Amino acid sequence: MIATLGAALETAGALTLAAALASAVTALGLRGLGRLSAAPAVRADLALALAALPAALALALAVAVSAPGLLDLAGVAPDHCHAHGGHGHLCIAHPAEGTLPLQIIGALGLLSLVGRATVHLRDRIHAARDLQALMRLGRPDAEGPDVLCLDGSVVLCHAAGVLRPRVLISTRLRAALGPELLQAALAHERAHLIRHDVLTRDLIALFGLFAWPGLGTQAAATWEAAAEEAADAAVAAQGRGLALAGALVAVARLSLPKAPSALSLDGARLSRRVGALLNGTAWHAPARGLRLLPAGALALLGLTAALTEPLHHAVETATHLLLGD
Amino acid sequence: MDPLDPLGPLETRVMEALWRAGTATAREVFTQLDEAWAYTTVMTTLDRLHKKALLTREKEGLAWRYQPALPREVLERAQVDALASRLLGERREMGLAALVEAADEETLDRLAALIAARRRG
Repeated sequence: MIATLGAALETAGALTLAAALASAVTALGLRGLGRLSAAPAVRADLALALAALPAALALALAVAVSAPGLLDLAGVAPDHCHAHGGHGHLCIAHPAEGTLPLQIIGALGLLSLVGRATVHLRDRIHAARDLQALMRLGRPDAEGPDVLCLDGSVVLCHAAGVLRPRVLISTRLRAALGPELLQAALAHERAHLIRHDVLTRDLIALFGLFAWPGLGTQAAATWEAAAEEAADAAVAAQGRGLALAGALVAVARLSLPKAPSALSLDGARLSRRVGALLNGTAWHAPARGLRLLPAGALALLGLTAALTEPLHHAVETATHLLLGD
Repeated sequence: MDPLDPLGPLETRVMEALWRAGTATAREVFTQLDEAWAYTTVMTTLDRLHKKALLTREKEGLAWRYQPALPREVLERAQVDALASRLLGERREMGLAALVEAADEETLDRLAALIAARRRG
Protein backbone atom coordinates (compact mmCIF):
# COMPACT_ATOMS: atom_id res chain seq x y z
CA MET A 1 0.00 0.00 0.00
CA ILE A 2 2.75 2.43 1.03
CA ALA A 3 4.80 1.39 -1.99
CA THR A 4 1.80 2.08 -4.27
CA LEU A 5 1.29 5.48 -2.66
CA GLY A 6 4.98 6.19 -3.17
CA ALA A 7 4.68 5.20 -6.84
CA ALA A 8 1.63 7.45 -7.26
CA LEU A 9 3.51 10.34 -5.66
CA GLU A 10 6.44 9.70 -7.97
CA THR A 11 4.10 9.89 -10.95
CA ALA A 12 2.68 13.15 -9.57
CA GLY A 13 6.25 14.40 -9.11
CA ALA A 14 7.07 13.67 -12.75
CA LEU A 15 3.94 15.54 -13.84
CA THR A 16 4.76 18.47 -11.57
CA LEU A 17 8.17 18.72 -13.20
CA ALA A 18 6.61 18.48 -16.67
CA ALA A 19 4.07 21.22 -15.81
CA ALA A 20 6.91 23.38 -14.45
CA LEU A 21 8.86 22.91 -17.68
CA ALA A 22 5.78 23.77 -19.76
CA SER A 23 5.20 26.80 -17.51
CA ALA A 24 8.67 28.06 -18.40
CA VAL A 25 7.79 27.72 -22.10
CA THR A 26 4.49 29.54 -21.46
CA ALA A 27 6.24 32.37 -19.58
CA LEU A 28 8.74 32.83 -22.42
CA GLY A 29 5.97 32.61 -25.02
CA LEU A 30 3.86 35.24 -23.25
CA ARG A 31 6.86 37.55 -23.17
CA GLY A 32 7.39 37.05 -26.91
CA LEU A 33 3.70 37.54 -27.61
CA GLY A 34 3.92 41.16 -26.44
CA ARG A 35 6.33 41.88 -29.28
CA LEU A 36 4.45 39.91 -31.93
CA SER A 37 2.92 41.92 -34.75
CA ALA A 38 -0.28 40.03 -35.55
CA ALA A 39 -4.01 40.55 -35.50
CA PRO A 40 -5.28 40.83 -31.88
CA ALA A 41 -7.52 37.80 -32.46
CA VAL A 42 -4.45 35.74 -33.40
CA ARG A 43 -2.54 37.01 -30.35
CA ALA A 44 -5.52 36.11 -28.16
CA ASP A 45 -5.61 32.60 -29.65
CA LEU A 46 -1.86 32.17 -29.08
CA ALA A 47 -2.23 33.38 -25.48
CA LEU A 48 -4.98 30.78 -25.01
CA ALA A 49 -2.75 28.04 -26.45
CA LEU A 50 0.16 29.10 -24.21
CA ALA A 51 -2.12 29.18 -21.17
CA ALA A 52 -3.31 25.65 -21.98
CA LEU A 53 0.21 24.25 -22.46
CA PRO A 54 1.10 23.31 -18.83
CA ALA A 55 -2.29 21.67 -18.26
CA ALA A 56 -2.20 19.86 -21.63
CA LEU A 57 1.33 18.55 -21.09
CA ALA A 58 0.65 17.48 -17.51
CA LEU A 59 -2.55 15.66 -18.47
CA ALA A 60 -1.00 14.02 -21.55
CA LEU A 61 1.97 12.79 -19.53
CA ALA A 62 -0.38 11.66 -16.75
CA VAL A 63 -1.99 9.34 -19.31
CA ALA A 64 1.36 8.17 -20.69
CA VAL A 65 2.98 7.60 -17.30
CA SER A 66 0.10 5.81 -15.60
CA ALA A 67 -1.28 3.85 -18.59
CA PRO A 68 1.15 0.84 -18.51
CA GLY A 69 0.67 0.26 -14.78
CA LEU A 70 -3.11 0.75 -14.91
CA LEU A 71 -3.47 -1.54 -17.95
CA ASP A 72 -1.46 -4.18 -16.08
CA LEU A 73 -3.70 -3.81 -13.01
CA ALA A 74 -6.78 -4.14 -15.22
CA GLY A 75 -5.30 -7.29 -16.79
CA VAL A 76 -5.34 -5.78 -20.28
CA ALA A 77 -1.62 -5.84 -20.99
CA PRO A 78 1.44 -6.69 -18.91
CA ASP A 79 3.54 -3.79 -17.71
CA HIS A 80 6.95 -3.18 -19.16
CA CYS A 81 8.79 -3.73 -15.86
CA HIS A 82 10.87 -6.53 -17.32
CA ALA A 83 12.17 -4.17 -20.01
CA HIS A 84 13.74 -1.84 -17.50
CA GLY A 85 17.36 -1.14 -17.30
CA GLY A 86 19.50 1.77 -16.31
CA HIS A 87 16.74 4.13 -15.20
CA GLY A 88 14.04 4.60 -12.60
CA HIS A 89 10.65 2.98 -12.68
CA LEU A 90 7.25 4.66 -12.54
CA CYS A 91 4.68 1.93 -12.15
CA ILE A 92 1.66 1.67 -9.88
CA ALA A 93 1.27 -2.06 -10.57
CA HIS A 94 4.79 -2.96 -9.48
CA PRO A 95 6.09 -0.13 -7.33
CA ALA A 96 9.83 -0.30 -6.96
CA GLU A 97 11.88 1.41 -4.30
CA GLY A 98 10.87 5.05 -4.63
CA THR A 99 12.86 8.20 -5.25
CA LEU A 100 12.23 10.37 -2.22
CA PRO A 101 12.89 13.79 -3.85
CA LEU A 102 10.46 12.94 -6.64
CA GLN A 103 7.86 11.80 -4.13
CA ILE A 104 8.25 15.06 -2.18
CA ILE A 105 7.89 17.09 -5.38
CA GLY A 106 4.79 15.03 -6.22
CA ALA A 107 3.25 15.58 -2.79
CA LEU A 108 3.91 19.32 -2.95
CA GLY A 109 2.56 19.50 -6.50
CA LEU A 110 -0.61 17.65 -5.55
CA LEU A 111 -1.12 19.76 -2.43
CA SER A 112 -0.69 22.94 -4.44
CA LEU A 113 -3.10 21.74 -7.15
CA VAL A 114 -5.76 20.66 -4.67
CA GLY A 115 -5.43 23.89 -2.64
CA ARG A 116 -5.62 26.14 -5.67
CA ALA A 117 -8.45 24.13 -7.20
CA THR A 118 -10.45 24.44 -3.97
CA VAL A 119 -10.00 28.22 -3.85
CA HIS A 120 -10.83 28.47 -7.57
CA LEU A 121 -13.99 26.40 -7.16
CA ARG A 122 -15.12 28.42 -4.14
CA ASP A 123 -14.56 31.72 -5.97
CA ARG A 124 -16.26 30.36 -9.08
CA ILE A 125 -19.35 29.32 -7.12
CA HIS A 126 -19.55 32.71 -5.37
CA ALA A 127 -19.07 34.59 -8.65
CA ALA A 128 -21.73 32.48 -10.40
CA ARG A 129 -24.17 33.15 -7.53
CA ASP A 130 -23.45 36.90 -7.66
CA LEU A 131 -23.81 36.98 -11.45
CA GLN A 132 -27.08 35.08 -11.34
CA ALA A 133 -28.41 37.49 -8.71
CA LEU A 134 -27.25 40.46 -10.80
CA MET A 135 -28.98 39.11 -13.91
CA ARG A 136 -32.20 38.56 -11.92
CA LEU A 137 -32.14 42.26 -11.03
CA GLY A 138 -31.81 43.28 -14.69
CA ARG A 139 -34.69 44.15 -16.98
CA PRO A 140 -34.97 43.67 -20.76
CA ASP A 141 -33.53 46.53 -22.73
CA ALA A 142 -34.87 48.15 -25.89
CA GLU A 143 -31.48 47.58 -27.54
CA GLY A 144 -32.16 43.86 -27.97
CA PRO A 145 -32.99 40.57 -26.28
CA ASP A 146 -29.31 39.98 -25.48
CA VAL A 147 -29.06 43.19 -23.41
CA LEU A 148 -30.03 43.52 -19.74
CA CYS A 149 -30.33 46.95 -18.17
CA LEU A 150 -29.45 47.31 -14.47
CA ASP A 151 -30.61 50.22 -12.38
CA GLY A 152 -27.41 51.25 -10.61
CA SER A 153 -24.77 53.92 -10.27
CA VAL A 154 -21.93 51.54 -11.09
CA VAL A 155 -20.13 51.90 -14.45
CA LEU A 156 -21.13 48.65 -16.07
CA CYS A 157 -21.07 47.56 -19.70
CA HIS A 158 -20.01 43.94 -19.75
CA ALA A 159 -20.46 40.67 -21.50
CA ALA A 160 -21.38 38.06 -18.92
CA GLY A 161 -22.56 34.48 -18.57
CA VAL A 162 -21.50 31.30 -20.29
CA LEU A 163 -24.72 29.35 -20.82
CA ARG A 164 -26.93 32.38 -21.48
CA PRO A 165 -24.53 35.15 -22.40
CA ARG A 166 -25.84 38.68 -22.05
CA VAL A 167 -24.59 42.25 -22.25
CA LEU A 168 -25.17 43.98 -18.93
CA ILE A 169 -25.39 47.75 -18.94
CA SER A 170 -26.09 50.07 -16.03
CA THR A 171 -28.61 52.89 -16.27
CA ARG A 172 -25.86 55.34 -15.29
CA LEU A 173 -23.65 54.37 -18.21
CA ARG A 174 -26.62 54.12 -20.57
CA ALA A 175 -27.61 57.70 -19.73
CA ALA A 176 -24.04 58.99 -19.98
CA LEU A 177 -23.37 57.61 -23.47
CA GLY A 178 -25.32 59.15 -26.33
CA PRO A 179 -27.07 56.84 -28.81
CA GLU A 180 -24.03 56.60 -31.12
CA LEU A 181 -21.52 55.76 -28.37
CA LEU A 182 -24.02 53.38 -26.74
CA GLN A 183 -24.39 51.43 -29.99
CA ALA A 184 -20.60 51.22 -30.34
CA ALA A 185 -20.17 50.04 -26.73
CA LEU A 186 -22.87 47.39 -27.18
CA ALA A 187 -21.29 46.28 -30.47
CA HIS A 188 -17.99 45.84 -28.62
CA GLU A 189 -19.62 43.66 -25.96
CA ARG A 190 -21.52 41.68 -28.58
CA ALA A 191 -18.17 41.00 -30.27
CA HIS A 192 -17.07 39.43 -26.96
CA LEU A 193 -20.20 37.26 -27.00
CA ILE A 194 -19.55 36.16 -30.60
CA ARG A 195 -15.93 35.35 -29.68
CA HIS A 196 -17.13 33.36 -26.59
CA ASP A 197 -14.69 35.39 -24.51
CA VAL A 198 -16.45 34.72 -21.20
CA LEU A 199 -16.01 30.97 -21.64
CA THR A 200 -12.42 31.41 -22.82
CA ARG A 201 -11.57 33.48 -19.76
CA ASP A 202 -12.99 30.77 -17.50
CA LEU A 203 -10.95 28.11 -19.31
CA ILE A 204 -7.76 30.15 -18.96
CA ALA A 205 -8.39 30.47 -15.22
CA LEU A 206 -8.84 26.69 -15.07
CA PHE A 207 -5.63 26.03 -17.04
CA GLY A 208 -3.80 28.37 -14.67
CA LEU A 209 -4.20 25.80 -11.88
CA PHE A 210 -1.57 23.62 -13.56
CA ALA A 211 0.94 26.42 -14.16
CA TRP A 212 3.36 28.21 -11.83
CA PRO A 213 1.55 30.36 -9.29
CA GLY A 214 0.86 33.73 -10.91
CA LEU A 215 1.44 32.52 -14.46
CA GLY A 216 -2.27 31.84 -15.00
CA THR A 217 -3.04 35.45 -14.04
CA GLN A 218 -0.31 36.69 -16.38
CA ALA A 219 -1.67 34.55 -19.23
CA ALA A 220 -5.21 35.81 -18.51
CA ALA A 221 -4.02 39.45 -18.58
CA THR A 222 -2.17 38.92 -21.89
CA TRP A 223 -5.16 37.17 -23.41
CA GLU A 224 -7.56 39.81 -22.09
CA ALA A 225 -5.59 42.70 -23.59
CA ALA A 226 -5.59 40.95 -26.98
CA ALA A 227 -9.28 39.95 -26.69
CA GLU A 228 -10.28 43.57 -25.95
CA GLU A 229 -8.38 44.76 -29.01
CA ALA A 230 -9.95 41.96 -31.07
CA ALA A 231 -13.43 43.11 -30.00
CA ASP A 232 -12.41 46.70 -30.88
CA ALA A 233 -11.29 45.53 -34.31
CA ALA A 234 -14.61 43.77 -34.90
CA VAL A 235 -16.44 47.05 -34.18
CA ALA A 236 -14.01 49.03 -36.37
CA ALA A 237 -14.74 46.57 -39.20
CA GLN A 238 -18.39 47.66 -38.93
CA GLY A 239 -17.32 51.27 -39.47
CA ARG A 240 -17.90 52.33 -35.86
CA GLY A 241 -14.28 52.72 -34.78
CA LEU A 242 -14.50 56.44 -34.05
CA ALA A 243 -17.66 56.03 -31.98
CA LEU A 244 -16.06 53.18 -30.01
CA ALA A 245 -12.98 55.32 -29.33
CA GLY A 246 -15.34 57.97 -27.93
CA ALA A 247 -17.16 55.36 -25.85
CA LEU A 248 -13.89 54.02 -24.41
CA VAL A 249 -12.83 57.49 -23.31
CA ALA A 250 -16.29 58.29 -21.92
CA VAL A 251 -16.40 55.05 -19.92
CA ALA A 252 -12.87 55.58 -18.57
CA ARG A 253 -13.81 59.13 -17.52
CA LEU A 254 -16.86 57.86 -15.65
CA SER A 255 -14.64 55.31 -13.88
CA LEU A 256 -12.08 57.92 -12.80
CA PRO A 257 -13.01 58.35 -9.10
CA LYS A 258 -12.70 54.67 -8.35
CA ALA A 259 -10.59 53.27 -11.15
CA PRO A 260 -9.69 49.64 -10.47
CA SER A 261 -6.15 49.48 -9.16
CA ALA A 262 -5.40 46.20 -10.95
CA LEU A 263 -5.15 48.11 -14.24
CA SER A 264 -2.41 50.52 -15.18
CA LEU A 265 -3.44 54.10 -14.47
CA ASP A 266 -1.08 55.61 -17.01
CA GLY A 267 -3.63 54.86 -19.72
CA ALA A 268 -1.11 53.17 -22.02
CA ARG A 269 -3.54 50.42 -22.92
CA LEU A 270 -6.40 52.84 -23.51
CA SER A 271 -4.15 55.09 -25.62
CA ARG A 272 -3.08 52.12 -27.72
CA ARG A 273 -6.65 50.99 -28.28
CA VAL A 274 -7.94 54.48 -29.14
CA GLY A 275 -4.91 55.03 -31.38
CA ALA A 276 -5.60 51.81 -33.31
CA LEU A 277 -9.27 52.79 -33.76
CA LEU A 278 -8.44 56.32 -34.95
CA ASN A 279 -5.60 55.26 -37.24
CA GLY A 280 -7.59 52.44 -38.79
CA THR A 281 -5.00 49.87 -37.71
CA ALA A 282 -7.45 47.82 -35.63
CA TRP A 283 -6.82 44.51 -37.36
CA HIS A 284 -9.92 42.34 -37.53
CA ALA A 285 -9.66 38.54 -37.73
CA PRO A 286 -12.00 35.78 -36.62
CA ALA A 287 -11.39 33.99 -33.31
CA ARG A 288 -10.38 30.40 -33.88
CA GLY A 289 -8.72 29.45 -30.59
CA LEU A 290 -11.77 28.07 -28.83
CA ARG A 291 -12.75 26.01 -31.88
CA LEU A 292 -9.22 24.66 -32.30
CA LEU A 293 -8.87 23.78 -28.61
CA PRO A 294 -10.93 20.52 -28.70
CA ALA A 295 -9.18 19.51 -31.93
CA GLY A 296 -5.80 20.18 -30.29
CA ALA A 297 -6.82 18.21 -27.20
CA LEU A 298 -7.94 15.25 -29.34
CA ALA A 299 -4.74 15.35 -31.40
CA LEU A 300 -2.66 15.41 -28.20
CA LEU A 301 -4.63 12.51 -26.76
CA GLY A 302 -4.16 10.51 -29.96
CA LEU A 303 -0.45 11.27 -30.02
CA THR A 304 -0.14 10.31 -26.36
CA ALA A 305 -1.98 7.04 -26.95
CA ALA A 306 0.24 6.23 -29.93
CA LEU A 307 3.45 7.12 -28.11
CA THR A 308 2.59 5.90 -24.61
CA GLU A 309 5.59 3.57 -24.26
CA PRO A 310 8.33 5.95 -25.49
CA LEU A 311 6.78 8.83 -23.55
CA HIS A 312 6.60 6.72 -20.41
CA HIS A 313 10.26 5.74 -20.75
CA ALA A 314 11.27 9.31 -21.60
CA VAL A 315 9.66 10.58 -18.38
CA GLU A 316 11.36 7.81 -16.38
CA THR A 317 14.72 8.58 -17.95
CA ALA A 318 14.32 12.33 -17.44
CA THR A 319 13.38 12.00 -13.76
CA HIS A 320 16.22 9.48 -13.28
CA LEU A 321 18.72 11.91 -14.79
CA LEU A 322 17.34 14.83 -12.77
CA LEU A 323 16.92 13.18 -9.39
CA GLY A 324 18.50 9.72 -9.57
CA ASP A 325 16.84 6.53 -8.35
CA MET B 1 -25.01 38.86 7.36
CA ASP B 2 -24.68 41.43 4.56
CA PRO B 3 -28.03 43.08 3.67
CA LEU B 4 -26.78 43.50 0.10
CA ASP B 5 -26.10 39.80 -0.41
CA PRO B 6 -28.46 38.22 -2.94
CA LEU B 7 -31.82 37.24 -1.46
CA GLY B 8 -32.93 33.62 -1.51
CA PRO B 9 -36.19 32.61 -3.27
CA LEU B 10 -38.34 32.72 -0.11
CA GLU B 11 -36.70 35.94 1.09
CA THR B 12 -37.55 37.50 -2.26
CA ARG B 13 -41.19 36.34 -2.03
CA VAL B 14 -41.51 37.65 1.52
CA MET B 15 -40.01 41.03 0.60
CA GLU B 16 -42.32 41.26 -2.42
CA ALA B 17 -45.33 40.49 -0.21
CA LEU B 18 -44.32 43.22 2.23
CA TRP B 19 -43.61 45.78 -0.49
CA ARG B 20 -47.13 45.10 -1.80
CA ALA B 21 -48.84 45.21 1.57
CA GLY B 22 -46.78 47.94 3.24
CA THR B 23 -46.90 46.23 6.64
CA ALA B 24 -47.87 42.73 7.71
CA THR B 25 -47.60 40.17 10.49
CA ALA B 26 -46.07 36.73 9.93
CA ARG B 27 -49.59 35.25 9.70
CA GLU B 28 -50.60 37.78 7.01
CA VAL B 29 -47.43 37.14 4.98
CA PHE B 30 -48.03 33.39 5.33
CA THR B 31 -51.55 33.84 3.93
CA GLN B 32 -50.29 36.05 1.07
CA LEU B 33 -47.80 33.36 0.04
CA ASP B 34 -50.73 30.92 -0.49
CA GLU B 35 -49.41 28.92 2.45
CA ALA B 36 -46.83 27.34 0.13
CA TRP B 37 -44.25 27.40 2.93
CA ALA B 38 -44.64 26.35 6.57
CA TYR B 39 -45.72 29.14 8.91
CA THR B 40 -42.60 28.67 11.05
CA THR B 41 -40.38 28.94 7.94
CA VAL B 42 -42.02 32.26 7.06
CA MET B 43 -41.50 33.45 10.66
CA THR B 44 -37.81 32.48 10.56
CA THR B 45 -37.37 34.22 7.19
CA LEU B 46 -38.98 37.42 8.52
CA ASP B 47 -36.68 37.31 11.54
CA ARG B 48 -33.64 36.81 9.30
CA LEU B 49 -34.64 39.73 7.06
CA HIS B 50 -35.08 41.86 10.19
CA LYS B 51 -31.56 40.89 11.34
CA LYS B 52 -30.28 41.88 7.88
CA ALA B 53 -31.86 45.31 8.52
CA LEU B 54 -34.12 44.90 5.50
CA LEU B 55 -37.26 44.96 7.68
CA THR B 56 -38.29 46.98 10.70
CA ARG B 57 -40.83 45.62 13.21
CA GLU B 58 -43.10 46.64 16.06
CA LYS B 59 -44.86 44.53 18.65
CA GLU B 60 -48.60 44.12 18.01
CA GLY B 61 -50.09 42.11 20.83
CA LEU B 62 -48.13 38.87 20.91
CA ALA B 63 -46.98 39.12 17.28
CA TRP B 64 -44.54 41.33 15.36
CA ARG B 65 -45.74 43.61 12.60
CA TYR B 66 -43.06 43.93 9.87
CA GLN B 67 -42.39 46.75 7.41
CA PRO B 68 -39.78 47.04 4.61
CA ALA B 69 -36.89 49.28 5.71
CA LEU B 70 -36.31 50.46 2.13
CA PRO B 71 -38.39 50.93 -1.00
CA ARG B 72 -37.85 48.15 -3.54
CA GLU B 73 -36.05 50.38 -6.08
CA VAL B 74 -33.56 51.66 -3.50
CA LEU B 75 -32.69 48.17 -2.27
CA GLU B 76 -32.34 46.78 -5.80
CA ARG B 77 -30.13 49.67 -6.89
CA ALA B 78 -27.86 49.13 -3.87
CA GLN B 79 -27.76 45.39 -4.61
CA VAL B 80 -26.82 46.03 -8.25
CA ASP B 81 -23.98 48.33 -7.18
CA ALA B 82 -22.73 45.89 -4.53
CA LEU B 83 -22.88 42.82 -6.77
CA ALA B 84 -21.35 44.57 -9.77
CA SER B 85 -18.55 46.07 -7.66
CA ARG B 86 -17.79 42.64 -6.23
CA LEU B 87 -17.72 41.03 -9.68
CA LEU B 88 -15.59 43.82 -11.13
CA GLY B 89 -13.33 43.91 -8.09
CA GLU B 90 -12.15 40.83 -6.26
CA ARG B 91 -13.81 38.41 -8.70
CA ARG B 92 -12.89 40.36 -11.77
CA GLU B 93 -11.55 37.32 -13.55
CA MET B 94 -14.82 35.46 -13.19
CA GLY B 95 -17.40 35.60 -15.90
CA LEU B 96 -17.05 39.15 -17.11
CA ALA B 97 -15.24 40.69 -20.02
CA ALA B 98 -14.42 44.33 -19.48
CA LEU B 99 -14.88 47.41 -21.62
CA VAL B 100 -13.45 49.70 -18.97
CA GLU B 101 -9.82 50.82 -19.12
CA ALA B 102 -8.28 53.01 -16.47
CA ALA B 103 -6.45 56.21 -17.35
CA ASP B 104 -5.60 59.53 -15.74
CA GLU B 105 -7.49 62.72 -16.54
CA GLU B 106 -4.68 64.20 -18.61
CA THR B 107 -4.61 61.14 -20.91
CA LEU B 108 -8.39 61.23 -21.24
CA ASP B 109 -8.34 64.92 -22.22
CA ARG B 110 -5.64 64.25 -24.82
CA LEU B 111 -7.56 61.30 -26.30
CA ALA B 112 -10.85 63.23 -26.31
CA ALA B 113 -9.13 66.06 -28.21
CA LEU B 114 -7.76 63.55 -30.75
CA ILE B 115 -11.23 62.05 -31.28
CA ALA B 116 -12.82 65.51 -31.62
CA ALA B 117 -10.18 66.51 -34.19
CA ARG B 118 -10.86 63.33 -36.16
CA ARG B 119 -14.61 63.99 -36.07
CA ARG B 120 -14.06 67.47 -37.46
CA GLY B 121 -12.25 65.69 -40.27
